[in-house]
Amino acid sequence: MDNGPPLESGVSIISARHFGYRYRRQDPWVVQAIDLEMRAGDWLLIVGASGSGKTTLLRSFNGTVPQFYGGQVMGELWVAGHDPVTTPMRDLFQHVGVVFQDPAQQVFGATVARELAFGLESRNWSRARIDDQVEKVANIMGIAHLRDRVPQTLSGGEQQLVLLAAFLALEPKLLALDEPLAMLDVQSRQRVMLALRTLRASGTALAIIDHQLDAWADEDGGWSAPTGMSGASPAPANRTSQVVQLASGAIVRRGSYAEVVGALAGGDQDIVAGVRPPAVARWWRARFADQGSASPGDGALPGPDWQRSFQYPVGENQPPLTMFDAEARLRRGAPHSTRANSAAAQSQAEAGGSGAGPLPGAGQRHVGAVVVEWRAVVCTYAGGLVRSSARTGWFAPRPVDGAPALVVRGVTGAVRAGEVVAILGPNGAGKTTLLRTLNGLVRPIAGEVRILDQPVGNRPVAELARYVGYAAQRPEQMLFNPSVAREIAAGPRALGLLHATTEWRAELTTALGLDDLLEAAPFTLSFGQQRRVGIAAALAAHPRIVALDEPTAGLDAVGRAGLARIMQHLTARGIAVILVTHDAEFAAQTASRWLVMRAGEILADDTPDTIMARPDLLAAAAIEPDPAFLLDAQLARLLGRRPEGPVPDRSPWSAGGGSAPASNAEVNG
Amino acid sequence: MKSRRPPSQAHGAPQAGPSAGARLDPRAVLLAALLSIAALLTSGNGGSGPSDWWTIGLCFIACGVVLVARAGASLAHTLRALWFVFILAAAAGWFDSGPITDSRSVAHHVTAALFQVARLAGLTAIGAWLFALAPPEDLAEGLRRWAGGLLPGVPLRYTFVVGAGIRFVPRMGTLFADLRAAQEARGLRFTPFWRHAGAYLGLMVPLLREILRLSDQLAQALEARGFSATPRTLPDLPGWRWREWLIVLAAVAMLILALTLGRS
Repeated sequence: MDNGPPLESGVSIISARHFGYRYRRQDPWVVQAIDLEMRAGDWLLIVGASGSGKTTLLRSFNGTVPQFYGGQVMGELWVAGHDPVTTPMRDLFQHVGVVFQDPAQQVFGATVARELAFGLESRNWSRARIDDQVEKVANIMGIAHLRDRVPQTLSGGEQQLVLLAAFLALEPKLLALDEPLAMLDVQSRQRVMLALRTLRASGTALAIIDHQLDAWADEDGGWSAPTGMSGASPAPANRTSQVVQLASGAIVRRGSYAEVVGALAGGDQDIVAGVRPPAVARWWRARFADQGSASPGDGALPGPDWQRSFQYPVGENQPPLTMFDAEARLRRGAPHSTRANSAAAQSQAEAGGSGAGPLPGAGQRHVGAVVVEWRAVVCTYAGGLVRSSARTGWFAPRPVDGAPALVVRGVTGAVRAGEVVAILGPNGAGKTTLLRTLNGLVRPIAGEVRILDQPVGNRPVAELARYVGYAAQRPEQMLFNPSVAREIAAGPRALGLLHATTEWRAELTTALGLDDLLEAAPFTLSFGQQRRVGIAAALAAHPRIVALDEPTAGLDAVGRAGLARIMQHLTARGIAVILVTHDAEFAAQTASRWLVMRAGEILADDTPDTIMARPDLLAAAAIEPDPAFLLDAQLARLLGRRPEGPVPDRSPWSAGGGSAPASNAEVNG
Repeated sequence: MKSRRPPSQAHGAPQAGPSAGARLDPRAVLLAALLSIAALLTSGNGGSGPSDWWTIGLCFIACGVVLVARAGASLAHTLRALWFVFILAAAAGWFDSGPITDSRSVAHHVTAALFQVARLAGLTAIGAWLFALAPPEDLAEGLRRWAGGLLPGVPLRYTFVVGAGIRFVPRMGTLFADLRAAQEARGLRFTPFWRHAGAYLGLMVPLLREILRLSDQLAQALEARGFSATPRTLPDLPGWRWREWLIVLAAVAMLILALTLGRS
């Protein structure tokens, strides 16, 4: 390879000494006083709240900052022996790859094969050598079947794999990735994780930003190098993994995954400086530590009798960070619990039940009349002639790799007022298309969609906006008014509902925490604030039905908690909420019912717990079950019974110091 | 009941690019397209002669062939987007045929209108065919090599940007459709234009912002893979084989036929 021999552990990849950066001299430092060391094959996870400087730090590794943005730099930064401040990006790219957040905006080739070849062409390789390398990485990444496809038409997961393959082909010394798992289904996530392990095994150091800490809990070791990689070398034992937490651009905590994430999980808050501890740790604390003292002392867990029956070894008072650890600990506590089982069961019965089951404000939410109905709905991908002729198939888009032309195939279902329904399934399952039938953005070629007992038919989208509030994947994208207040009022004004919705808009802005920002220009707000303004604008006409498309994508822990509170606020007022998401944990916490889709069909329509209890269904629909559910099930197995009743911490309503869960009476009111 | 537009998600209708085996030299495709356009523009005159009927027939056959081939979805989408232009073309053909005097002149007017519509549809089909068989980057590289004799030293980066720019035109269209959908979903109306002209601010401001953001991200993504590096491996073009010659000869034959019919 042109960029040197296989990397040996011990070769410095990143060396930062008091490094800092700001976009303009008069601005505050976005990144400051960063001291960091990384060596070949090392792994770095960067965590922090939105706006903490993570992305800027990542961009500094390949010189995007400051070469694209200008600005001012402090201290020193060396990446693979080069100074990214002064070394042109056209030279740095051979050593450093940076994959930004949205893969769809980084693919530009005519075909996947040409996408993979682009970086190699920049290195002036011979055509034959490029072709060999492209074939090699395509096989390693499992995307050989995509090589003649147009990258822009691939799914998000496939695009992410193509991007990773494009950098894998370059065999960089450092690969930095910004939220590489966002918006991917389970299968795509697994493929991306495997690809990253492949890279690391070949000696590439990895720097990753992610809000989802759970996904990276196992990344402490090395992996054996795959065959066929010329730059691959066996993973040395001394490769290290570290996690750094950023706040206001500075590193406020660093250490191993166990140290940093353990410290985050060890507190008594669900969100620490914008970072949410792993779901396992939150579950554990909710189950045990929150029942009383956080320090068991003599090893006995506090809480009700049946929970107290579990016994930690002394010193294990930190919550577990992985499913494996949690299950092992539960098993260790099992003999004691088994002895106390009958007494515990009696105690629990007297206490009115305790354990896993429907969520506060979710499963027990009372619902009203049917407000949405899909009756044997069929939709296709494309529009115009293609769509109208889809019955005959004459001009239907030509299927590639067996992909279906019909994206929704005879879906029948209903949603009631005050209900939260989550639509889950793999990429391309037809979830978004089904959601868009509600407000006429997609019209079915067969079947019928009814809202509020009226057919959608050919009613204009703008008219349906009175009844259906739709927040697309990036609602902040549509902002255009000079102030937040005007932005939120734009929809009602166009619908002639400006005065009729005054009270509702005030309620909405309060619920979304926008009261202090009403006069601010939307473009000057942070990402999280813009997202909230976008959601408020989408819902400002006081709709009876709310449709949310991937609402948690790109949101940090605080944003997720806020979103959950908004959803609770809506359902408490009898509004039906339908969300499309890949985030099973969020869906389990907020939705009372799941519609599971695959290949345009509904595989299941049931409560989250019922669906998560069916591994075959989860596998078929590429859904990763909520860790809390798995641990509840494990706990129940160890106790020899099925727990019932509310779970203390699975509801996100209380996350981040938010408002308390609404009672059923409030919900029904 | 019909959908308004295709879903804009990246995982929309899957498309195959030209496979290595099926790739044609873009210069041949471009030359054939130019010859076909010349044939189309020189055949017939909208005067209800046999050549007009030949042109109409050939145009609709060409459209049909392209529609069922690889570029079908693209052409269908373009035809649908251009419906207003087709009406204008038909109107131009109709009013350009003079006053209506009898039933025969009505038929003449209809033929003239149909002729203009067919010619426009034929041009659209040729465009769809061109971009289906020759990716914009290949076209740009082909032009760069052709221009090499006249303008030696035209850097690849400029031709690449031209090619990538062409490729991103549909993405802009998708973005526009997305924004329009999002704004309509919250109650904004855009038709009729004269009543809702102000609402277009809600499209243009976000569109401009998103285009700037997208171009910025694309530039960063390109540089992250060494776009500015020199020297670099040039894109390979398949070169002229019998297939390329066949296509060009077919286009030449079509042009000759059109010229012959046009004189008759």
